[in-house]
Amino acid sequence: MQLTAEQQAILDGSEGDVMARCMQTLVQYGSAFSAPRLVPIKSAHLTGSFKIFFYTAYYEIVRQLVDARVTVKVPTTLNPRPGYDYKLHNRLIFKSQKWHEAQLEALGITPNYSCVCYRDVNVPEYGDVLGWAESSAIIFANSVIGARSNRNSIMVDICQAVTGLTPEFGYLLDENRKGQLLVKLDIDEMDAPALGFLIGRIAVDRNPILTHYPFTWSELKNMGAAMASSGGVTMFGVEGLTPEAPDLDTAFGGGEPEEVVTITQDDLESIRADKREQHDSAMIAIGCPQMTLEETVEISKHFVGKKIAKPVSFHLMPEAAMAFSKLPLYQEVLNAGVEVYRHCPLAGLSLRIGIGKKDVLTPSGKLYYYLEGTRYGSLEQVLDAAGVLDS
Amino acid sequence: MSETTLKCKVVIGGNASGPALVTRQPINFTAAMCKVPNMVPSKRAEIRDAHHELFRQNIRDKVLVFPSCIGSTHTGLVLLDLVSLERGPAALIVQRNDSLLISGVVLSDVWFGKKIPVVEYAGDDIYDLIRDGTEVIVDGGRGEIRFAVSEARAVAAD
Repeated sequence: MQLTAEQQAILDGSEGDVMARCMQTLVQYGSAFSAPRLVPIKSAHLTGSFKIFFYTAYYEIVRQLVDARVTVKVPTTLNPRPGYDYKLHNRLIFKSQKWHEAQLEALGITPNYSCVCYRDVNVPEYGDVLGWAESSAIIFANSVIGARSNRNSIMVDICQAVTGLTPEFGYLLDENRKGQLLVKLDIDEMDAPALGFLIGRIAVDRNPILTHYPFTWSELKNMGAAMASSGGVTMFGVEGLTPEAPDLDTAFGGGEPEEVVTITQDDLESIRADKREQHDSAMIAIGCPQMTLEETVEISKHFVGKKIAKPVSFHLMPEAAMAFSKLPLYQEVLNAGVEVYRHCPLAGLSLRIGIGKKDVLTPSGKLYYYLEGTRYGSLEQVLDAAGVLDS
Repeated sequence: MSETTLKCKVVIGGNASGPALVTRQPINFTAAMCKVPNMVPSKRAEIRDAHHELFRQNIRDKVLVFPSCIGSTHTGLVLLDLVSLERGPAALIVQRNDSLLISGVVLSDVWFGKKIPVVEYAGDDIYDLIRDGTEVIVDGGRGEIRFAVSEARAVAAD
């Protein structure tokens, strides 16, 4: 890898041993992919917001950075909190959470605490080079915005934030952003998270291009997150909707797809739990990735004047939660019995069901993948199981 | 029995050996490892992803043979601990390397001076040649994967 004089100096220790190791991390990371150089990033987004008590090495490295008074060189946002204010046992398990948050804030990050950073705090523009982590944010930035980020790991994200650099390879380069797999849709009723879950399984790490469908912003968010969970998809395209797929010819770079698949309504049904299982579930969680204000308002309408049949939790972006709490609808939702949170459902619920092994029903393809003992239902089915769907 | 040698691309160097654990299904290390059974102080490294065929298998000291790495950017958190605390696989043989898979190993090398070999071998014939329990040597210096294989299996893979 060819480094500039300034980069080489940092690698040689001009800014101290800790910064030298951050640079060394990026050099070894990039070298594994034959990256020719390090390039500047517009912003960073960090995934490692949880203090998971069992893991140690990541937190030890962060401690070294903070002790050396290293700070971020580019705007840097952070993933959600795990919900340490949730239940007693979570407070015990996440007892170091506040310490960890103080460490990250000492690095100079923006304490937005959302995986949907690209909504209003860290919004990239078309063509921006990013040093992001968080698979759901990376896939959105690449696919829907047309910015460029590789799937960067926890801690590599911090090395990028404090140097303002990322190795140039993978999704930073035009040749790796072309479609590989054509996904034809034969669907009567859209269920974007289920579709994303299925596409992730089929595409694995290839770039899928979907035939045109007028997905909403929230559907693109939830579908991408699922693709990056059941698969390693970093970028997808929707014909005539996403910036690098104005038409199929452009999306495939003038070439042919290496595979063509059709996803049908029956395929979507196949990942849903049956009705009895859905109704037997112990609780319902909605909002992975966290819900926007529009999503919250849309879903909340169903809860007005109702009482929930089983516990329901909403997980909102902090900004959305703030705005939502000022609407009359917020009180209606609380009256129905819904719990409204700002934290990540995965972290809190992992421990909650780890102890009780109670089944969670969710319309999130991502939560369905990660949370043990979870069942999937479409949003409509989940509202039905919650006892709030008008028949 | 005869020794078979496959030429591979070395992503992260080093030498290691151990019994193989083989899957044709991509692995989501975060979903597999960030689970309560691995978090109790037992030094377990069990795949606890119910969507995966290796559910409940222990990857510690195994030479893990798999197609690719999927899912969360927390992958590095998991592999960094497994490698730096010597609680994880002996080596990784992957068909398609990717940015998340190597990050944890690179971090462990740079910050803690511990690493495991990661090599890339694209061919599907590896699944015919290497089975669960096959003793495998990963030789990062020579870019080789070596193991003993029965004559019948070597012929079947030709």
